[in-house]
Amino acid sequence: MSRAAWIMRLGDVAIAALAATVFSSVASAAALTVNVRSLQGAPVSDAVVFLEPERSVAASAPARATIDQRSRQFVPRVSVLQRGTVVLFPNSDNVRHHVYSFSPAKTFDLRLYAGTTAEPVTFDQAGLVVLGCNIHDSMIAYVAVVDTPYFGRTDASGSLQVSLPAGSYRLRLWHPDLLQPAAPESVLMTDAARALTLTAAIAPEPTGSAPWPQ
Amino acid sequence: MTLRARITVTFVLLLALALAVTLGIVSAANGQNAEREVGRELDVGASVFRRILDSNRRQLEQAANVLAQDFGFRTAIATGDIETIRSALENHGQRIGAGLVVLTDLDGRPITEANATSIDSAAMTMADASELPGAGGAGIALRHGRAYQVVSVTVRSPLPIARVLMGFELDQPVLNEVEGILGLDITLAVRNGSAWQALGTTLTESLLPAVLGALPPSGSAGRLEQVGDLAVHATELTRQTGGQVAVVAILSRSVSEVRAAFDRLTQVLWVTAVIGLLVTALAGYLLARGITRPLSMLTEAVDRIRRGEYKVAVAIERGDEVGVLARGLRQMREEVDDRDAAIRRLAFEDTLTGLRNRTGFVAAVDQQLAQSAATSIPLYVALINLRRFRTINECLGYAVGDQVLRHVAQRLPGAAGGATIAARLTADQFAVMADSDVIDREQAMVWAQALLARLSRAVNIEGQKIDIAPVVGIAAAPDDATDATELLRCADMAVDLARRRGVGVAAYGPEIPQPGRDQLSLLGELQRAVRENELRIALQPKLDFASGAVAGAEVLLRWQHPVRGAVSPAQFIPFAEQTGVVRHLTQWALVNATRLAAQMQSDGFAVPLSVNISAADLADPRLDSKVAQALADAGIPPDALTLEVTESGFIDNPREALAMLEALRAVGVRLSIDDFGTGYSSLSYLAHMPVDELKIDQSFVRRLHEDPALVAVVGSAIDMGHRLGLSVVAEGVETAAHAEKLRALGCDIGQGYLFAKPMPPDAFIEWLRGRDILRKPTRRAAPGAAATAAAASAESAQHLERHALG
Repeated sequence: MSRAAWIMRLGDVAIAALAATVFSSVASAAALTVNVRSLQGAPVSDAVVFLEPERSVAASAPARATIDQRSRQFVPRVSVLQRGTVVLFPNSDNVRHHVYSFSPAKTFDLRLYAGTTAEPVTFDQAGLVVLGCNIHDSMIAYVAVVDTPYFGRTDASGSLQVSLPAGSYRLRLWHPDLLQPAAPESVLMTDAARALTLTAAIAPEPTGSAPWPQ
Repeated sequence: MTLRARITVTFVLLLALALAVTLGIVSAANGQNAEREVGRELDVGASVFRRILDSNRRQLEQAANVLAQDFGFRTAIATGDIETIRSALENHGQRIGAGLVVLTDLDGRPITEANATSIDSAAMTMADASELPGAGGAGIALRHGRAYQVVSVTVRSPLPIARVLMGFELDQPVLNEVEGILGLDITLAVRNGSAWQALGTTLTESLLPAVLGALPPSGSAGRLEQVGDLAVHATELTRQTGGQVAVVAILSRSVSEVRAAFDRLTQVLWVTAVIGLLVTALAGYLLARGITRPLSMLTEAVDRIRRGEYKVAVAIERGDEVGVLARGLRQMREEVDDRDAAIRRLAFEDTLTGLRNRTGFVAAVDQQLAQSAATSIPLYVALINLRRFRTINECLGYAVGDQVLRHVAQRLPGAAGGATIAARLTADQFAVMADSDVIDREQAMVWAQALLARLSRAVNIEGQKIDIAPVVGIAAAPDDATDATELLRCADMAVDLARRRGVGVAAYGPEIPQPGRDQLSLLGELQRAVRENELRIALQPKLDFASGAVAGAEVLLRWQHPVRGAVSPAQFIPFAEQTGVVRHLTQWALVNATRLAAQMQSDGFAVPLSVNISAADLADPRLDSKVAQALADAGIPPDALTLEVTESGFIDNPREALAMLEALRAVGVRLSIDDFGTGYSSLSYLAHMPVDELKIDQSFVRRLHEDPALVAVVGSAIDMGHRLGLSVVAEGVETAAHAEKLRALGCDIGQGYLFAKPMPPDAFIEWLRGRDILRKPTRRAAPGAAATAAAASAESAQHLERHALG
């Protein structure tokens, strides 16, 4: 099986899962748009936002994700995954990488040869997992493992969209350069779509060491 | 100052000056140099020291980084495996010999450290906490009073989770090593409040307080004030938070040590200078000698040439100026030699005949004499005189005379060269030295006769036969003389002898009197005799034939020589006459005779005295005034003095002599003609001569009795004298027969041994006693004679009175 066919198949799986979710509550779901701004009002990208529902949600089938190594960078640098997601670590570089994590949420290390993909890693515990490369100190990636299906990551314009069924949620915000943990925020969703703007205390210089909110 | 000394001294002085300037500059510079050198050493040392620290830091960082990136180590940290962590720290620390390896958390709190079972966090103070955190942090850490150079490296997993502190202890061995590298003393000091405290030093303890005291409380970097002998430089190692310097490294150097190095350099320079001076002096001396040695050789050569040693070799062959000088000198010597030879030739050669001249002959004979002196073989010399030559010259002219001389010269055995030595000594005098085969007097006579025969042939000049009448005299060495000059003189006397005898050849022999042998020395001695009063007067009386009374006395000179004793007048009077010394004698005789006359007169013996006057005296234009002076000084009447003049006195200059006689006559003295009959007197002169007396020579008187013709001559002379109004005196009256004959012939006065020998004045006065003294001398009437006669008679009267009374 070719690599392209692999990705195609994985993609099909993801679309199928998403479609199932959407279609199960399609009648009452509404879109929440979150804009994250710094204290100076600049859009903040790579901010992780996830919403925990008041009532528990039925477990869904495990999702799949990919964190590529490209140009000696983890791509994407920041990922948000629902607990139980299986992540593939391809190596698009022609150098070797040695991906490791000493994070309590998931400790592992993978020796990645050029152009190969290692065994997928299942992130089965919520929390922050910081990935490093033992060979390239500058390669750092953050994997936010959340215990909710409602999450997102701001794009370059600092915004994200989450489709939420009506109900009340606890909204949490995290960013690698947050100076201090952001307080949880309650969000009540109706059928109507709504937008929310959050202000994050981002360090002017990247620290990359913001702790995971408890 | 010699040239050599001058060159040497100049060399040495110049170098000494240069060295003195150099040494002066070096000495002056050394003082500053030491300071500068110390400063430079300190600056370089500080720079090197920072390099060392830098190098250490990089080594530490490398080691710490290796540790921090070790995956196992990171795993151990992530899993909190303290034992593993510590073993890793120890392992990596040992690799580079780090004295301090600590793992801290991100806030600098120690987690664990190598070689420690418990965490000693309280004792750990980082000198500068703010500098240490973060990757690449470095500085000085202090613990338990020990200083460490540390680096801090962050451990990531992948976010920073801890730090590794790794450091070298700056202990004494390290400081010693640094001192070894830098050549500078190093002291580590840490701030303790406002004071400084030493962490370690290579300085002696005693110097520490001063060095620490030199650090300002606020800390300082760079050069500090000199502390005593030490130049000090501080290097800031860390700062405390707040910016204050916390730890410094102090580098120091003893200025005197550096100066000592320069002083050693100066000493070496001095030694070099002295050696250089000595070498230069030697070199200068040698160089100068190279110049002056040939010069002194030249000088010596010149000196020898000056002394006439023309054969001296000037053995200097050089290409330089001295060589040119030597060549010039050589050339000069040769030319001088040539000229000298020419002059010598002229000096020793007779130009007319080509024979030797007198000098040449004397030299040659002397040389021969010197050679034959050892063998004592006699050497004969013949002297040839041409009797007619003067006549030839006068009658035929000098040109013919010269030709004659040349002819004669050619007839001489040595004329054609050969071994025989021949010479022309004076105008008509030739000399020949006999060959060595002539060894006795007989052979010599034969040889001389042969010589005479050869020369006696008439010389034929332009068809005219000229008789030259040669006379030969021979003398022999060493019998007759021992040197050439004396030999020639002897030969000359032999020539005289031959001429007198009328023979052609005569030999010198003992029979030939030697009047002249001592004459030369006599000349000087005679003058001395006059000066030193060695002369004495002797008086020989003259007696009146008629009355037997004393008519006067002749003053004769006696010479009492201090060494020779009494010298006969015959030996010195003729010589004195020839040389003119006789004038001094006459003067002496005049003065002393007049004095004696005056004394005798005052004693009652008024005897007229006669003094002999020579031809030389007559030529003295002041003779009359001298006589007058002597008379005046003695205070006697002029007619008490008679001057006896020989006929020869008139021969040379009759006119002047006559004029002088007239002048003397005017003075008033009596005049007498001495030795009458021996000369060629002109009777016409005699007639007009202003004389009073005629003295017939003793040669006539002695032979009076044996020759009747002489009786006629003497009688005629007496008669002639009387007719001219002169009184006639006969000399040499030795026998009574003489006296009787003379008296019979009418002679007035006699003088001779018959009556008395010459005697000293005292004896003469004794002799006078009891004798009559002729009152008035006989004299011819002359103008002014009356007055004189009157005066004389007055004296006579006086005398008579005294006599009567006595």
